[in-house]
Amino acid sequence: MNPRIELPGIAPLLVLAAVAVLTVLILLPLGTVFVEAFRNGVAGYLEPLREPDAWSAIRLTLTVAAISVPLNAIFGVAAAWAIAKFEFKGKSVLLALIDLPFSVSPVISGLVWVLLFGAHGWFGPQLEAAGIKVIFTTTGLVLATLLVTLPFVARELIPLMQEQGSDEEAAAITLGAGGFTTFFRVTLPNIRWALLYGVLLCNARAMGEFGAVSVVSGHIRGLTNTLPLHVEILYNEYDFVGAFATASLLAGLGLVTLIVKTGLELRYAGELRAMRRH
Amino acid sequence: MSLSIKSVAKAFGRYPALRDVSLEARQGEFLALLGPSGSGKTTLLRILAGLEQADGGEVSFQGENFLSLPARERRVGMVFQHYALFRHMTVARNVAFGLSVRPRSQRPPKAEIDKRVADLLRLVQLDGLADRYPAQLSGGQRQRVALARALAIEPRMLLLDEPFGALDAKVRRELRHWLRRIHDETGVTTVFVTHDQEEALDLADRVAILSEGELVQVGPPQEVYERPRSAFIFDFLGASCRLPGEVDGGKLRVEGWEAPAPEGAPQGRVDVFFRPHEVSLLPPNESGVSATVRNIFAAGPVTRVECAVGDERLEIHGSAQSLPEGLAAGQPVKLKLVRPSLYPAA
Repeated sequence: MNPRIELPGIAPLLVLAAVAVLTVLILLPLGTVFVEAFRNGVAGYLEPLREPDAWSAIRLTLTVAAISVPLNAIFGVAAAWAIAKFEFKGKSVLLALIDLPFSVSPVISGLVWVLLFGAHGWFGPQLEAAGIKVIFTTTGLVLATLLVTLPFVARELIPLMQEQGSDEEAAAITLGAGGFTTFFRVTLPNIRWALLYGVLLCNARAMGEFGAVSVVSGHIRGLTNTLPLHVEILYNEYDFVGAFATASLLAGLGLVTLIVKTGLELRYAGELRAMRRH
Repeated sequence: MSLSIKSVAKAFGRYPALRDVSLEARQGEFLALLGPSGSGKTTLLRILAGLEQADGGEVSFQGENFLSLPARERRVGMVFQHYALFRHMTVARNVAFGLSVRPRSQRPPKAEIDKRVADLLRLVQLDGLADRYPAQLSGGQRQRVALARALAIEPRMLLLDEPFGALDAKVRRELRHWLRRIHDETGVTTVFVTHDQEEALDLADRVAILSEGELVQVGPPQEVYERPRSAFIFDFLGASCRLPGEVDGGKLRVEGWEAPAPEGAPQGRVDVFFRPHEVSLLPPNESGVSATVRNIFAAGPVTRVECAVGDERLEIHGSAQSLPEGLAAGQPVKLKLVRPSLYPAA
């Protein structure tokens, strides 16, 4: 535990500034979402969510997340394992590639798929001849989401795994454990909380992604419209209550993610502390 | 010979970590690999464990080619400097790990594993802590768990990589003697890596000294300590004093003092090395190397006398009784070297 440092006079100012920023940037917008959503009462709130198009948007969003989050969790663990535990040529290139989706605009992450698989893209004509459609389909949405959410799990795990080093794995191997046993009984348990956190963040982004998905979606209602895109459509049609009601689902998802994470941290606080102190 | 290492070499990129190292150990021997950091001692240990691949050379253990055997099949117990305990497992499950990951056909029944764990925890004096997590233990306790875990697989050889390096001095000394007892009880061939010469000399049957990836001397502690083969080894093995000298025919000359040169001494300009306690301070009318007392530090069991010989400064150790009476700073004295070691001048 660090010793407490008293900053007389400055501390209240800092607290006030932090509260002000949080209020203006986070609490106020979040509040607006729910206030606007319930402008016409509970019945008015539920009505837009009963629309078949809204339902199909929810289903599609869940489907895309259900495919891309596990894939990126597996990729993230594999990449972090390779980067943290081994020395190889091109490691810094791999690290930079993992960070790339963070540094480019999501629109680019969507556009590249159009350029690759769109009707006028590199592989578009061949794919069309084979009867495979990527753009304006769920496949395209999954690809765009995968690219955008690629760094979340890996970035969460790399610093932790680097800090943990590979002594425990080495010990397991000298004790007679094979590769799989070592991974599932030593490596994975050591990273499970960071992995869970990474997956939660990845999931939140996968469900909330707008830019990349917008490019490949085509906004076909009932078919390729995800929740964030559905919000935009409703808003553009001046259906504000509908837009905010749908948005409240996404905001609620964010809140649930946060609550689950905090709950887990509280529940396993002792164990977490033990792992860090070690 | 139980363990035989022949011409082992290893490089990391262009940096050679081990060069042509050959070494043997008897069944049940306690061998210390001693060297400064970067000398390659840990690399050699990790090659023995199978955690690093040698670039060349041979390692055989009990007649078996060790290098072609994967780490998990070597059945060596390894103890790491930073314990490397499985942090999410209790002490008991840490110790049981090696047995519980065996293929089903070779795995002892659960009751037997439990008994083995209890026995081992008693051996390392940690019974009662079986349900703790590593983070709830002190450093010394953690290292004892690590040793119990390594012993659980009934290792054919025990490898320890600076096992006490992260512990404080008092705990180190306690664990050192305790480790030697465990070794004598179990009789397992043990290779112990350390950069602490006192630890190596105190603990091992034989000490192998490495420097810059090369094996520079091997022998029993007393032999290595009394007859270091080079100035580097002499200096590395403990506190040392150095004076410039010259050997001419059968004569050794140090700062105007002349004595018969020891047998086999190098000719010409030499560095004269001796331990701070292997020198007598005599009154100035006696024969010896002329020196002037600069400072006397009398607190503690050893009195340290700082002397100037020409341009050199030396620190001599002695007991209060062995020093001339009334010794004070500024006085001229003579130094009588009890057993100097001579090396060609650097």
